[in-house]
Amino acid sequence: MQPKLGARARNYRDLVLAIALFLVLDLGVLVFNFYASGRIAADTSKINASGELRMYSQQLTKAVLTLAQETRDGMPFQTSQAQITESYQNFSKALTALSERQDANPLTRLLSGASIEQEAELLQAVATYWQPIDSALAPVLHAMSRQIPPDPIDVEITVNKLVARNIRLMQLANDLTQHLEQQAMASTRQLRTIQVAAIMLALVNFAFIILKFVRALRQSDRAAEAAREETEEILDTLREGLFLLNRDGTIGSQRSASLERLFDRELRDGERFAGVLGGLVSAESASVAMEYVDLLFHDRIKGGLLGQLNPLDEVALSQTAEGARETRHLSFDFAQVRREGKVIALLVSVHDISEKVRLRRELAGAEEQARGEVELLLAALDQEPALITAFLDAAQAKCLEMNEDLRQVEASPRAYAGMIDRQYRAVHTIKGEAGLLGFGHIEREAHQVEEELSALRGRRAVNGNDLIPLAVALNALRQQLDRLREISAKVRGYAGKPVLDPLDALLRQVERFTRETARDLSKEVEFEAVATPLSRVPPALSQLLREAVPQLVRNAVVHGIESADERLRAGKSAAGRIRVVVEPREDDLVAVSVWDDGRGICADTLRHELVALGRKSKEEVAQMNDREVVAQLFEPGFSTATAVNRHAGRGVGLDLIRALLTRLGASLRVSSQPKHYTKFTLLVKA
Amino acid sequence: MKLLIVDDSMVMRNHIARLSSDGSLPEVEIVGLAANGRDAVAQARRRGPDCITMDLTMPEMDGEACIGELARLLPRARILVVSALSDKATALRAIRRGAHGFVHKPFTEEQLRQALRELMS
Amino acid sequence: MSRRNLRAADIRVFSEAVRDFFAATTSESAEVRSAYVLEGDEAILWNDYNGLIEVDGGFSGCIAFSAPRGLLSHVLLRMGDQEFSDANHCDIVGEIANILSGSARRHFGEGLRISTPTALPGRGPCVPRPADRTAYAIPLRWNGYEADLVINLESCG
Repeated sequence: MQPKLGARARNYRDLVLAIALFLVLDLGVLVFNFYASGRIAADTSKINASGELRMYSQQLTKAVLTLAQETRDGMPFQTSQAQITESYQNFSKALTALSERQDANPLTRLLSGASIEQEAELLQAVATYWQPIDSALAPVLHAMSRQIPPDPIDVEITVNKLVARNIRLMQLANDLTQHLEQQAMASTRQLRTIQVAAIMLALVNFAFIILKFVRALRQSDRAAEAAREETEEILDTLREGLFLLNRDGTIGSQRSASLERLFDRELRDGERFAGVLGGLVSAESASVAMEYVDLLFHDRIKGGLLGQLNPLDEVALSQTAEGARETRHLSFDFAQVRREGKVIALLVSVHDISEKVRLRRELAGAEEQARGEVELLLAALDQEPALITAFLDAAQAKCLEMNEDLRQVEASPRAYAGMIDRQYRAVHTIKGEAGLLGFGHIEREAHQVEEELSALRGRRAVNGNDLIPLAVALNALRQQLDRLREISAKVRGYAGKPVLDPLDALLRQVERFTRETARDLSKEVEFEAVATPLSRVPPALSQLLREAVPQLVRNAVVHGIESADERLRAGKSAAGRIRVVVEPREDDLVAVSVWDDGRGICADTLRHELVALGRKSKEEVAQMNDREVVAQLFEPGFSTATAVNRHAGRGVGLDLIRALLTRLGASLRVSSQPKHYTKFTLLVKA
Repeated sequence: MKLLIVDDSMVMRNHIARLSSDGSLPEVEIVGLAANGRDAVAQARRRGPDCITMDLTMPEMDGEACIGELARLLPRARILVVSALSDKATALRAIRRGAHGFVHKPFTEEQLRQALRELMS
Repeated sequence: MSRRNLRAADIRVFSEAVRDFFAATTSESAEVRSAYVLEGDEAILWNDYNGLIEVDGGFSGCIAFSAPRGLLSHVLLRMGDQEFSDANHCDIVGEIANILSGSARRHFGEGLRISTPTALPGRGPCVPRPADRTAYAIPLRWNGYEADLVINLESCG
């Protein structure tokens, strides 16, 4: 803005100077005209006087000759006497006049210096030539003034002088006249030239002013145009709607182009906001909004103190005729425009916040979907009631513990971290068992809890507020468990189904789980379960089959079994084989083995991974024997799956098994041949 | 600036009083504390406050009625509604009765002071 | 069958509202310690002073804030109050209930009917709650004291 202002001031200064110059020039020409006309008048009177010199010299000569004749003839000479006096006086007067006008003004001298010198010389010559005549005539005039006849001798002298000098005097007077005439002509020419020049200058100046003025005018026009274009451009490109709401309730003509898009309709000049809004939102919203707008026009209301009450902060647009579209949401913001304390208009900005609202809705929608899963629950209910009850007892006890843990937890990062770890293990078990039993919805809820826990694990500083989602997810899981118990009780009431051998039932669950896991991971698997009939299923075995075996089978599918292509290349059948065997051993033990014909456990590959995961240094792994390396699989947090899905990759499976085995007093053996098989054998008291 | 504080919670009254009289708003002079609308009108009549902070949900003449009464009684007084109420239509109706601004509860000390400053400007 | 449970975001609204109250009023934040579900038939109110709002409409149930006397006395002190009467202690929980009411209105919309906030002194008669409705308890710590926010809401949709 600053340079523009400077340029404008300079423009104005130039214009003012030009106009001043124009006035000065015009005034100069006017003054010069005065001078010039005065000079021409003076020149004219000088030329006249000069002419008179010639005429009176002639007249005087004639009168003096007459006088001489009359004196000689003794005749009265009144007539000639009067003529002489008159001629003499007139001649003297003209001569005096000419000499008096000699030293006019300095300007004249400046303009025609040489010519004036010459004029003075010529005049001097006349005067010098006249001087003797004047002297000779003096006695005659003197006598005549006393009314006595002049002395004839005097007359004679005068006559002689006059006759002798008249011609020359006339000649001199003539020269003077001619010179004066020339001088007058010259100075007239000169004056005209000066006048023309001055007028030309004034005209040029005038043209300059006009030019300058027009240019300045055009410049300011251009600037105004540019400003207008700029405003329009801004209004056209603004994504938000922007308009002025006038006091009379009409929408101002200056508004952003996006407004019509936001409102999805054309706007006419002078249209009323109430009408426009009425067509956009529900009648109720519109009426509250107009009340709010009306309040903002009260001069006493401070707009800044009313923002919290804006009813159009987030408003849903009513569906238009075509209807099918998703509901759009707009946000209006109002600012008071005041002049001298009075609210003259409201500056209204409009944003489309549909996206924001949609995202919020989507979050809610995901939950809706989860609700539909209750239907699936019913379908999955052809389960063995004993298994469901066992599962529910264990899962609900764990959940209760988890909730109690949440209730008791101390507000310290350490306590939070410990609790999160405990809960992680607990929920992972529930998830595994739910998957095993085919309760997809419970498995998903458990997975959700696991997700929340994972998020908390990854956070540096956990605070109590972060636990809210965990409590909610845990509650959702508990509610699913409650529902399952309700429904299973009902189902049990109706059904008189024969109950399967418990071991058989447990193995069927393992089989079902294996197939589902394989399907989820798009792997082909042939499952085989071999069980020696047992007189009873000890609780420890039951728990192994429910919690540990599924993890091992899962690991076999995820890590062991290769893709069909890879298997064919290795000369194996396309489908991987997994076998679970339950058999009694000596010393009152029962062995449960999980065998697969996958890629086996390669100690060197594990060494690599241990280093890559940063768990061990190169030197450390080099010093470990293969047994020690394989044992690392059972350390917390070790995982070799690349993507996190609900089947693996959380790094919990095997360390969970180890914890379980410790609790049950069971032992574990691993045997494997790279590229051929892996076999986990669990030994538990019968 | 004479200030009248109207709120049914004594603690809230005292809180607002303390915030506006601790020197941060030197022009404010508290002339009264009222616990309900009726009391507010009575005090306003006696003390002629310039500014009034007004809760909306109160026993014995609620804020809305009270604002109408006060605006009639003291047309020059400025009224700031201080409320946790977010039923916008009700709040707007109350303000229409003659209030000048709205502050949402809970407020920070600075929020309230800023609102009072704006109210008095 | 299709009753929807509260989302974490729904609960956060209230825990944030209480935190805001402490932050704004005493310029010291209250810290949420944890969040858990009240078991079975546990009652909702169990401290010296309790502020309560009941809602009906899109959601039904109640939201309660309960705090020990010491905490409230401290808040009074912070607010410059020198009088530690029962009424003043009640005032604070009442004010918090008031703010919870505003938050409920803002978050769940105008469709909700919200009772006038009530402030109840004493551990005496507890508000029972239907056993089948989840009540989330959010223990908050402020200045070494612990208070509880209980959100016992369920969608009626």
